[in-house]
Amino acid sequence: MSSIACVHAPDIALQAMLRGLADAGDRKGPFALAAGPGGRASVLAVTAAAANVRPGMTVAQAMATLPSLRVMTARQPDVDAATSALADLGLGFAPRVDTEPARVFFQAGDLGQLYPDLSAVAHAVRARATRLGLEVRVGIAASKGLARIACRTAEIAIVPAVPAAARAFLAPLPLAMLAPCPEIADALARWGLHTVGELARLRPEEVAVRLGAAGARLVRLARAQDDEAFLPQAPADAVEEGTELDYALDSLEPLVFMLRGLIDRALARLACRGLACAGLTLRLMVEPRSFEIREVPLQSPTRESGILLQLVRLELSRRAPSAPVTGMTILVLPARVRATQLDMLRPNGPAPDRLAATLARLSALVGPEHVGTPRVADTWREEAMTIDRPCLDVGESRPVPLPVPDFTTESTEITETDGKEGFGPDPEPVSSGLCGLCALCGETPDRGTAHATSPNDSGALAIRRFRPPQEVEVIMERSGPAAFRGKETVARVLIAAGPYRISGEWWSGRAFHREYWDIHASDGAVYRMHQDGEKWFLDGYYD
Amino acid sequence: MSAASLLDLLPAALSAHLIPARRLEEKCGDKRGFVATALPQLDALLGGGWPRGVVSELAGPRSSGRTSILHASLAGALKSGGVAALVDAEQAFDPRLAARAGVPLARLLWVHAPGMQALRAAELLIDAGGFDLVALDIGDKNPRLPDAAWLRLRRGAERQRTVALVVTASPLVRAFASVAVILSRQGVDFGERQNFSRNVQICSAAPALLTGLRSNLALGRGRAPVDGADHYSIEFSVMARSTDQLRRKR
Repeated sequence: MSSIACVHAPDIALQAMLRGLADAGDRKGPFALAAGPGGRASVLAVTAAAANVRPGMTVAQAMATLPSLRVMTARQPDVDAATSALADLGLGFAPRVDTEPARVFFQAGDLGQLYPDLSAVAHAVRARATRLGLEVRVGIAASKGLARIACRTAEIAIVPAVPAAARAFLAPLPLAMLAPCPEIADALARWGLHTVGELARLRPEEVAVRLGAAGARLVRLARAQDDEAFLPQAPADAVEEGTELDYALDSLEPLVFMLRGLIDRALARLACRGLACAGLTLRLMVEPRSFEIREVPLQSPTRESGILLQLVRLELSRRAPSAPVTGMTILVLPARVRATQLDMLRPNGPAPDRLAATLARLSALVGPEHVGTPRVADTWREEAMTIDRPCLDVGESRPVPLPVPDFTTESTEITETDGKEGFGPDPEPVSSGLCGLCALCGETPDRGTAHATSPNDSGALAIRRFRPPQEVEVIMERSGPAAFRGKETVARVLIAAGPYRISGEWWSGRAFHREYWDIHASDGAVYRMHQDGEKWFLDGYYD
Repeated sequence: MSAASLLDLLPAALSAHLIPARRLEEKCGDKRGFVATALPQLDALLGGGWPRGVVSELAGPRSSGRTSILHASLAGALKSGGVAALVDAEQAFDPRLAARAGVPLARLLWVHAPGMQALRAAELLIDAGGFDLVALDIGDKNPRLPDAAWLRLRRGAERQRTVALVVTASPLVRAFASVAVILSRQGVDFGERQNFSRNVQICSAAPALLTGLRSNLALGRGRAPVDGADHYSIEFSVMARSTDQLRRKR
């Protein structure tokens, strides 16, 4: 049998304002929500600590009654956020919910495997609501209308599912629990009816003749014959939290302080649904009547408010608002946190959320264009280098490690990471030996107690690039370069190997035709240089 | 049923991936807190690889092979599936040659940060945790860096059990490095040019072809190797560079 839970947040506008208070301890004080023009503003709702103040009093009367009373006015973004938070509360227990102002309904009949009984479900709902900064009443019944009535009777009320027992539950309740409209309530009072049981004894057809369809529906409700449809709906895609400020903020720290509350509340709502934040959009209302958008991308879903706040702070410090901020709204994209099965044979790697925060801080430090994953550029220019957006291949999707070449064999095949082109085996070793010029370049081979290494124990020789290539002046002889002079280097050429010709990009406006040389210079280093047209450039040195 | 008969039942593709429990540690590539490099000589000098949780320094002049050793260290750290980061102060990194040296670029985070920013970037990366190796390539210009920065780097490495490798032209980290490897040039090898293909035209004006460099590895600071050798010779060969170029020309 189905059981519908109704969760009601009484005085949700007042609760919305209390949610916005940074310190939860402050919420226990005497607060009143007021509305109305100027000095004639009247109290709409009060907290338990302000029991002497009654709704309907003017603010002046309320302040005279309780001088420590703090009066607040409702702000629509806060109320909307509280209403959405209430829906998220229901979505924490069911995939779809039915909502109405200050209430959310969800199917609680299938929670039997998680909770021992419906009372435990109700207690869990209240506990989770407290984490969201809401105080709620919970009623569970076989139908939506009965659950709504149950909500009005107590903080937690469970209406039995059996119709006879449900009628017995309803019978002693006062008629006000059915919330009839004022005309019908007057009529029923004139008829001398005071309890739901007395109304249930009337025949619906006869009541319909006198009070219309609304009256007949009340009688059916009193008989526990509810026909109100339960229409659950899928949740919204994003979680939104926002607030308006009394005073415009023009510095970063107070702005971040305000954002902290919004982020905490949004993450608490996501946590209710077992979700995490996959991305954050910040909408800042700035003076005069304009707004600015800041996107805060995340590498992976997170529930850590500290990391989110850090990313927001970095984004705001990088692109500060152009004018004082009068309000803000955050839009949080929900995502499921996938459990990662760690590999027994591989290191764990950086935690995705900490990695995201680190990447953001690095981007702020050196600029986003200087942080990333290097990739072999699709060009024949040797100095070219492509940096991709940092997306380290960690976690579940980590591929099997690439084979590291075994330098002890000559026939190792190495594949570039882009997989476009493979390199064949090394050529047969040429007649290598000491260059014979070590004395010239000042190097004294010292084998001493060193281990004799076979040629097969060699590593891959790297080039250390000058970016951009340094322009140099070169003295040419018939056999090749004889000396060169650059901004930082002046040297004679001891051995020059080359030229190796490379040309390309003739199909574009950036055609090049280069002749590369490997130069053993008198300073001991082995340089790579090229001639492009009339100019010579030092590309780097072998290292 | 015996273990051998169970193995026979497994498909060949699956049984090829089975690892005896006694070899798990070896497969993990983390032997007693070391991160092995792809160079056996260096691993022998260091007693198994770069030690975790300390700052290590690799110093050598131009063409002494320090960048080649850096690539080999990155390849060794990433071999077991981990993640490494390179803070490049001079933007000298060549991804093409690094990939050819066995560095899986998809798991390498590269940061270009000049001067003091390089040290700060390395600190941030180490503090993030989870990196097996964070290399700080300071380059040829050795700037004056405050001792407090090295101290923070060392404490971060200790906390996160990360290899913090500082690559410099001359020793810079001093007492803050637990291990220092000093490189010196031994020689340059040129070989006679050969025609790799009949279809490739090679200019014959130049007499030689660069085939590699030879360097000397010595331990400037740290625990002496088990076999007592105080330095090793190492060769770095130009891996199919010319062949690759010429093939592309075709």
